[in-house]
Amino acid sequence: MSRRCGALMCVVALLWAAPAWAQSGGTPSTGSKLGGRLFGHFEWQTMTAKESVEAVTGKSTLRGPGGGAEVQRLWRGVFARVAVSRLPETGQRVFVFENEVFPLGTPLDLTLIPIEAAVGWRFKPIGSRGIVPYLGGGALFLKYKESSEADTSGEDINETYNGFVVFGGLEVPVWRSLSAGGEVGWRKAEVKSPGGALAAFGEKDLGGVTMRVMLSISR
Amino acid sequence: MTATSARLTVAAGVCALAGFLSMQGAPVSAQQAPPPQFLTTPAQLMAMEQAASQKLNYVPGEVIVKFRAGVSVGQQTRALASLRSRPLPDRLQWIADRTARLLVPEDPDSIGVAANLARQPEVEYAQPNWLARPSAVPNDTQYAARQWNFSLLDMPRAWDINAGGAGITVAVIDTGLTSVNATYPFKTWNGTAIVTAQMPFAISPDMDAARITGGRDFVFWNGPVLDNHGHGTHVSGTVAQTTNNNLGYAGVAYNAKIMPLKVCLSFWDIQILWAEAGITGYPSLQSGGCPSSATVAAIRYAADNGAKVINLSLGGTDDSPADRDAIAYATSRGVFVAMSAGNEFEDGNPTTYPASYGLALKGAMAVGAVGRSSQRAYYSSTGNFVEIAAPGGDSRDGGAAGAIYQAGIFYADYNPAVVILPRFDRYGDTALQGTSMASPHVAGLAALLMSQGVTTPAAVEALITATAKDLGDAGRDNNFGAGLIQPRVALRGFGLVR
Repeated sequence: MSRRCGALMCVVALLWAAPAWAQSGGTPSTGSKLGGRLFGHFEWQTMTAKESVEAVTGKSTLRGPGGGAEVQRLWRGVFARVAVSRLPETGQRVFVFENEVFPLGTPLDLTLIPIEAAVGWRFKPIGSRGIVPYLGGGALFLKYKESSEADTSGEDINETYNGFVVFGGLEVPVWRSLSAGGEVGWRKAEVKSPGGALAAFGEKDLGGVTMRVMLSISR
Repeated sequence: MTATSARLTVAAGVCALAGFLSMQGAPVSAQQAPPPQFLTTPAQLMAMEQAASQKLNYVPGEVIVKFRAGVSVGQQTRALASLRSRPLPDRLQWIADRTARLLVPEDPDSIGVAANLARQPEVEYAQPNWLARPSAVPNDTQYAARQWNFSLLDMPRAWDINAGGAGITVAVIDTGLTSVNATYPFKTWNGTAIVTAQMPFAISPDMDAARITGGRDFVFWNGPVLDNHGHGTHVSGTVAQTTNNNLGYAGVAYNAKIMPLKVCLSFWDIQILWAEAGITGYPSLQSGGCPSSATVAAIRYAADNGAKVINLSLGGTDDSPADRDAIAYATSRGVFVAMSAGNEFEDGNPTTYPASYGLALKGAMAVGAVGRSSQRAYYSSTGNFVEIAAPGGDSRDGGAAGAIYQAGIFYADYNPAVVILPRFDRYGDTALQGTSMASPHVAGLAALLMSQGVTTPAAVEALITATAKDLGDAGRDNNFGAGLIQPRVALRGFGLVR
């Protein structure tokens, strides 16, 4: 983790230490100098472990905010990205027997925090508006937190599951350095030796299909 | 279970009492109840006495018969005509669908009668009217430590999740739980003559009367349920003793309702019935028992009248299809059934009934007993039918401190070995051990789980099994089944990943 933090710090340092490059009226991706983008987003993740998550929370799609940073034009269209989201949800503890869910009424709080470290390719702008499509993929570090009422120390869960992510999106210039965009992706992160509702339904993947709306500032 | 083993006897010192003064019963009222109508005829009384004197495990002259579907009255008559006494169908007392108790006092060999009937094409099965016994071994050591059982089960933290099983009714099918404060003018034998004695009864001061509901007596009379034995009171206490009342003891599901269903006749029941029938003398101290016919009727009554849990702390060593059918009926009606596994480990360790029916029935569990050290209690029967374990007490593991304590009727007031004119209105500390004491822990846990939201008996069984603490050999074993119940873990249930 310390190496990843160091890499992230290097990326940020490069981004902000680099001299401003001339923008020829196009988007940063057309320039030849190193560029960067900071973005904020709101995302929805439809869980692969649909039955388990629905049993505990009543929903199969989690949602929440996030953000990230990209270094662009590492080599032509190549970019590197770090992104993090926070998807909290409330629910209750349950018992599952023969696929029937018995809600037990004990409140439960869970939070998914997907951290992505990815690389990708930004294509040439399309059309008069200069819409930029991109694709990418990389490592996923999915932090999972869970706590319940009446839990004692040691019963709360705070674990990280490793996996991968792939995504694709479109970035649309709005005004000057400001862009808006949308992205879809797919995450996979399996829990080793799951228990609880996951085990009852034979599920173990806390990833899923994601959709994001984004606002970004580029340099 | 033989008639002489694993029975809650009335021997001296069965209850360890340090003093009852803090546990006085409610003030005895002088009110007189209407004349009672007793449910057992003199002929039946003599049959039970014969069973006691001959150490029979059935009621002589009584069988339970289940006819096949579609059998007409004429066909029933034909089947009954196969017996030497050729009884008519009016001798049939219906206790369940197509199932009746048949009285043939002319032929006391119930085993032979049942075998003869079973051969008839109109009959699905026939069995003697077995006499089960409450599954407790008396503990006559002195008063000592208290409810180690609840500490072993981490009950206080379980109660943090569910405060006592509110909204659930638990039927305790046993010797009864006194449900009135009243004095009754019962006849009894004083050694020289039949006399009328004013016998006071009182509700336990450590049991909230408002939570005693829907009780019924299936063997003694059609009046309020009265416990003149003590076993049923102790079992009911483990299930649902009032808790946090600065008095006495705690119960597992202390906000649940108790439905006391009396199916066992004790010495004093028999003595009173004898005297009321004009029979002089004392019955034997081993008189009494729990006829299958009464147990079957009580199980069905509980299932049809709102009970969600049944506790059966009684049993025998005789296969009883009628009991099996009744338990299956109860589970099909959404009722969880907890049964004591038996106390016969040192008496040949036979398979016990109805405990062994739990293996094939989802939602019915046979409960073995452990002592303070979570070791199998020395008496606790073993076998593939033992599904789960709970504290039952073990005098070989901690002496007097190893028993299960609850509030109970003050034994010195009714000890039939020494008392002539009993009273049943004073309460004190009662220490017992047996799988009788283990089973109500599971019944209470089932009540908590049902109150928490696990609404089917099969799911209750699955959750209890899945969360049990493994004891003994890894995995399921014949001593402990799945292991020791873990109420807090069960009530906590599942999160997403654990």
